[in-house]
Amino acid sequence: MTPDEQIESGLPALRRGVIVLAVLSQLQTEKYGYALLKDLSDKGLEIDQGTLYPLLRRLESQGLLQSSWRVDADHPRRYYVVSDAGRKAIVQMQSEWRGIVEMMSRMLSGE
Amino acid sequence: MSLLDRYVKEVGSHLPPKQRTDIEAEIKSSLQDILQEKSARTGVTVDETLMLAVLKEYGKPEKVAASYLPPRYLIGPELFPIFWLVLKIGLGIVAAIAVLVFAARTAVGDIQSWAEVGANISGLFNGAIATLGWVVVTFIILERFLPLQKLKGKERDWDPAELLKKPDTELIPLSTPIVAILFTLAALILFNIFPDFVAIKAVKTLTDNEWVTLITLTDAFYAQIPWLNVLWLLSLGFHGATIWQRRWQPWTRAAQIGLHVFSIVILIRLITGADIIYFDPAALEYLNAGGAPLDNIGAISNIGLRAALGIAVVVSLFEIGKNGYKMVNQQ
Repeated sequence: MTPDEQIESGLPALRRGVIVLAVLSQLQTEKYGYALLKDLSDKGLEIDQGTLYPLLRRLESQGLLQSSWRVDADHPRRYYVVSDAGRKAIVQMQSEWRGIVEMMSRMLSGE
Repeated sequence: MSLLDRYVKEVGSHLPPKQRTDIEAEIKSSLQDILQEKSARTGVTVDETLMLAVLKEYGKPEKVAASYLPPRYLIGPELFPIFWLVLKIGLGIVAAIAVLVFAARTAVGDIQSWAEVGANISGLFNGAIATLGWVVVTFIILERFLPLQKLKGKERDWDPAELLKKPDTELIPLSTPIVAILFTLAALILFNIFPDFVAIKAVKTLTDNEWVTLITLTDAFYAQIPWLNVLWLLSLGFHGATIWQRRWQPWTRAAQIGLHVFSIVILIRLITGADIIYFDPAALEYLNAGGAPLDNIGAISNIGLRAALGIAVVVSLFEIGKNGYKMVNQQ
């Protein structure tokens, strides 16, 4: 693997770290999977379905999300929304995220 | 059944039954959303061509199903270090047994062609594959049924201060080579300069202090003395080197393995050759005056001695395995 390829392969790992917080932050209002995918994409975070749907299920099993099936238009959709535990998690993760951004800014500016 | 349903069922077939229905419904719903969105954006009605394009983009059913499942291992990261250790020990034992069998067959002249050498190597290869298979199967079973959370709990209890209590296994205590050199020198002097001293004698009459020899070593034993001398001289060099080094090195371990293999060859020659101790019947008769006949005592003693030499072979074999394992680990 060339150095360029190694950097390329490291980038998804860098993005993966923010996906949970990004997903939780966008589910403070109820959304179904595909609408969430579009929302995230519009805001610059591209995730494929193979990553998003299993992640939604995992977050639900951890109690951070709640879901319910509803028939919209012509087919059923599963809607997700953050739970009370999910809201607390967002606050904690936001604070951690700000700390990381501050720390990395200091490091990258050579302080 | 539509193409969409076929795809969803195909994904479901790779999922555990408990989650299947729910995940199938979610994937179907997601695909319907994508189809609707694409149709609305391009103005194309939802037909088989559009479905094929969407499914192609969504991914291979096995891959989609795998994304819903936790990582699956035959042997996971918690058990892998123990698995690796057990495998190395197992393969070491197989290799040691193969060396013993080869040495034994060579010593008794049973290996007479390259085809027989090849058959021994093939036996070693088959043994190694079988060992690998058994160890892997055992650990796959452990991976499935062992409560691995308990192992993780033990990791948390780990105290780095324990490292200070651990003995340095690579250090060679000075007493070991010094004692070995003294015994080796004693053997060299005894068997080469004073061979007559190697006997069991008894006093025949107390008045004139006459001695009778009960047991002596036979010519079959003394025929091996040149080889034993080579072994003892090499051992002296080896123990001298360990005093100089003070720590085990891969080459010192390799040298010790070589010495053990050499000693096994000599031991097997002694075990499989003629009797190596001799009982004088006249002396026995004298000592046993009036007692039960002692006709078989010589044969029984030689069998016992052969058994003792056999134990020495097993010990050497164990040492070969131990040094081989440590040598591989050190590298």
